[in-house]
Amino acid sequence: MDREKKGFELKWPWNWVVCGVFVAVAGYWIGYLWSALLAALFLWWQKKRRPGQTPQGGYCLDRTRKRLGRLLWSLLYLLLAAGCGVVFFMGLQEDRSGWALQDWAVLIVSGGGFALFAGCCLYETYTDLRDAFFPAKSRLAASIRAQLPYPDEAPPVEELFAMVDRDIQENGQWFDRVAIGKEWVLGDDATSIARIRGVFPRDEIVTRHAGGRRQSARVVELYLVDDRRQVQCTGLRQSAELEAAVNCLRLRAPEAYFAGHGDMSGFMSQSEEEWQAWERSFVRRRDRRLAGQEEQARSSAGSSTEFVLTDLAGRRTSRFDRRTVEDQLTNLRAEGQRFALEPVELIPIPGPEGASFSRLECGITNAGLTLIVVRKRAGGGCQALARPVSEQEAWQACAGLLERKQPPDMSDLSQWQPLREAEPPRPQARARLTLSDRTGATREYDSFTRRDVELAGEGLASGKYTVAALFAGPRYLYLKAGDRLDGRVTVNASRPDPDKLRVFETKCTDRQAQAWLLEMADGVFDPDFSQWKDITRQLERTKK
Amino acid sequence: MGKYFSDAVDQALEAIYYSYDRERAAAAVQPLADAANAGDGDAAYILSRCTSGPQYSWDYHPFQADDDVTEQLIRQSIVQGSAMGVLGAMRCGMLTPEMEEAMPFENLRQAWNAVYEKAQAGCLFAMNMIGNTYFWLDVVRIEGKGPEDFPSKAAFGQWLRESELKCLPWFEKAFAGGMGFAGRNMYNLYYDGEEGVMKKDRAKAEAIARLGAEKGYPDWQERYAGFLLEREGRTQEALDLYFAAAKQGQLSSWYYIGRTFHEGKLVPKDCPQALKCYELGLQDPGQIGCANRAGELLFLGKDGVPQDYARAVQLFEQAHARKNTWGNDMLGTCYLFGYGCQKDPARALQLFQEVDYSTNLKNYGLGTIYTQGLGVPEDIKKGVEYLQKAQSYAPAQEALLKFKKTLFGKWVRR
Repeated sequence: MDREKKGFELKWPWNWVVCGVFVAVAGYWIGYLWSALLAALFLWWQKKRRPGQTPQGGYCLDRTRKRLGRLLWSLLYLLLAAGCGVVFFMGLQEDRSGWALQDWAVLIVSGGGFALFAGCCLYETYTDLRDAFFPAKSRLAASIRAQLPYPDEAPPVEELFAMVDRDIQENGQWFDRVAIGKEWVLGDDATSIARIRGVFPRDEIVTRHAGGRRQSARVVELYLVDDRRQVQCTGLRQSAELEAAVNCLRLRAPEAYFAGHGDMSGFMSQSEEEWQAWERSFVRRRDRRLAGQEEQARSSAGSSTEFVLTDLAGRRTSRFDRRTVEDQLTNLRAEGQRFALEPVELIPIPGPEGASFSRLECGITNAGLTLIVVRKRAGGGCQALARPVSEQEAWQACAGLLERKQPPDMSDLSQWQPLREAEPPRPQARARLTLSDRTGATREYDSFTRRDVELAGEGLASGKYTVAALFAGPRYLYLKAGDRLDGRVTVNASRPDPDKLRVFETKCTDRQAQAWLLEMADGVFDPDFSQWKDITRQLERTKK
Repeated sequence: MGKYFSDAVDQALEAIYYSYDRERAAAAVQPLADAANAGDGDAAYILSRCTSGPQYSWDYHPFQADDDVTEQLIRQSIVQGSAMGVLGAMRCGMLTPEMEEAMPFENLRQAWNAVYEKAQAGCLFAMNMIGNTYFWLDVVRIEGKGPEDFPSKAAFGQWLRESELKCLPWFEKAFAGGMGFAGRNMYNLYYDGEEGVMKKDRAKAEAIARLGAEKGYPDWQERYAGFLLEREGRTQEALDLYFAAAKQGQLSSWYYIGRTFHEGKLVPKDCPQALKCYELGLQDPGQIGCANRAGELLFLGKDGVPQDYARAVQLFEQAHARKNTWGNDMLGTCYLFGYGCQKDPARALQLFQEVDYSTNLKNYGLGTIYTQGLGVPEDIKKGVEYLQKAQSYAPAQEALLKFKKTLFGKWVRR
């Protein structure tokens, strides 16, 4: 179960009010830069405490409110305007009769600077306050309206923001300051993905030379061009995130034109004919892709994603409906016939055992129409329980499962008969008799009688066979007939000790060899190996 | 009394080995069983071949393999004095010392002579048996000759080679006479050759296949069509042969016909028709190719074939049960995401790891398993490596977007 983290959280607008007051008051004591830094840290901490949580009021409102942070720029402009203003107004009050050209230049530059910075300050303050407190007039709202087919007939800003928020909430993938959903891209502006025609990432180091100094800054920006040739731009902090965002857009808008920022002006300045041709090609490619998706959707339509039916013929299918199951039930006639419904996800069965429902079978047994429920135990293994039922009960069980994912009622287990679990057959090592004759041919028998073993022993003595061997699991007895120099039979036998399989060797008479072969066949071969030579190591060395 | 054996046996040989008719073959079984019960050892032997599995007659005869019944019938045939039973038991490793003792022949040579006489008299089945005693070098045991009986090992080797090649005239006669089954070992010998005995002779192998096809043997029509497929301009002829074979009940031919519709090179692409062909081939559960290709069509659900994951899983499992791993990537994907079966990431992992080929589906599946820690400890780095291998696959690209590399080079969830 998800536990919602609760704790201290300052809500809008109090978080900004507190921060503003804090910056103003604390700035007096520790400096405005440090107090602003602390305030930013506080806001960051508030956000980090709730990862993945939708911001209060939604992503769009959060974005417009964050414009308040840009008031710091206004402050900067104000300071610069004040500096220039002081120089300018002091210059105005001076006696200018003896001014040199340089003095006039200072007056004009300071006056110009004053006007410029004051203008910037006013504009920045105006747009920031407007975006934060009047979202309907914000840049973001305007960008959303611009993406609608009829911007003038756009719904209220709440609906506009809700539309984007919903998509970002459900499908959004965040890349630094940019969120990409299935329908919208939310950055400093919002862009409808269906309208994107060009994607131009910019990751450049911009160098400026001013006053003999060289200033470098890395510019990481994402430019999106829509079908009305409007440009939406969002700045990012990390270039890796820009690359990931572009990769994501390649998946969402594969037909769009992807190129570096340098190509953007060329793309934008296409003639009307070129633009129309490009638009037609775009639409054609997009339609082809959508047609493929539609065909795929049609192909999987009518296919159950939650259950599998194994029909009376033993054929499994995902393509069935209520009617198919009814037919299966109706066609159940002969003993041994059955069909089964299996959920793709195990359904937990309430109770202390922690078992899960795995399968419902409906078939005809010697007790008549029977329901069989297969449960998976928490610790592994399955248990099958059966209960004779009427046709109506069987149908109710199937319908309850299909429509409500409700397994048959098993609260009273006395009504259910446990079925014995079939033990898997244990693989048994078959004994093997191997015979070689004087031609060098070897034959193996995995089906033989005691008489065969008897005859094998006799054949070894008579010279018909040169080798007779009997294998039974890890145990074996290998008999090699003697030759002209030594008529005795060479015997190799294995003994599976707990630590390893040992092999012993000895020589014996034909009669003894025959007796041992029969003992081995009878499973009573147990000679006194202490009198035999242990050749285990010798064999191991040979193997190496 | 029949021409070579009893009526029941002669008629059974005609129905089972000299024709490709499932119904005729099925009808021959009861008379054989009756004759065997009446003491006809040859009938017991022919009956034992019916229960020995498809490699002992035509693949599509309606017989059920049963090792225990086969063994019992072979023993019965030997005890009842069937020379064919003795040679047949020797071939399939059932002529144990006890059976050798029980056979009413003085030695193997005498049994071989009995069959040889029938072969010389024109019995196609006996010809094939004699050919097999040479082909498989059972003559070594029959003749009782070993290296010691020759002046040198080389001389023994030479004798073995000469003996093996003696199979060819017998196989040829039986094959040309109307026993399609007799062409198999001869064809294999020419097609693959055998070191020290015979060089490969693909032209001769093709000629055998063509003769079989001309005689209307469906298994040979299919084999010869395989040769024609490689010839430019003769693909239509090949397709016709596949159809002819399939119509006679050669179920494996449906696979090739299905592939033709599936690929759409020779005929317009028609995946629903291809699926129908594969399903026809699947009347033989051993048709792994049909199971895999039909499974693929149903898994992808493209080109007019409705998607059916559950059936696809069943077909891939059918092939997998026969040690075929061609569809493991698709089957593993089904188990991983619960497409048409209960979710089982552990089984999915096992299926992905069973194969050494690399496909987008497999890499995406393994990437998902490791990045999400499904049945294994979470290992984002390893998972991302697999996802990166499947970069041309959109779901893998989508999944990759959920991870990012930190400043220190570690992959973390976004």
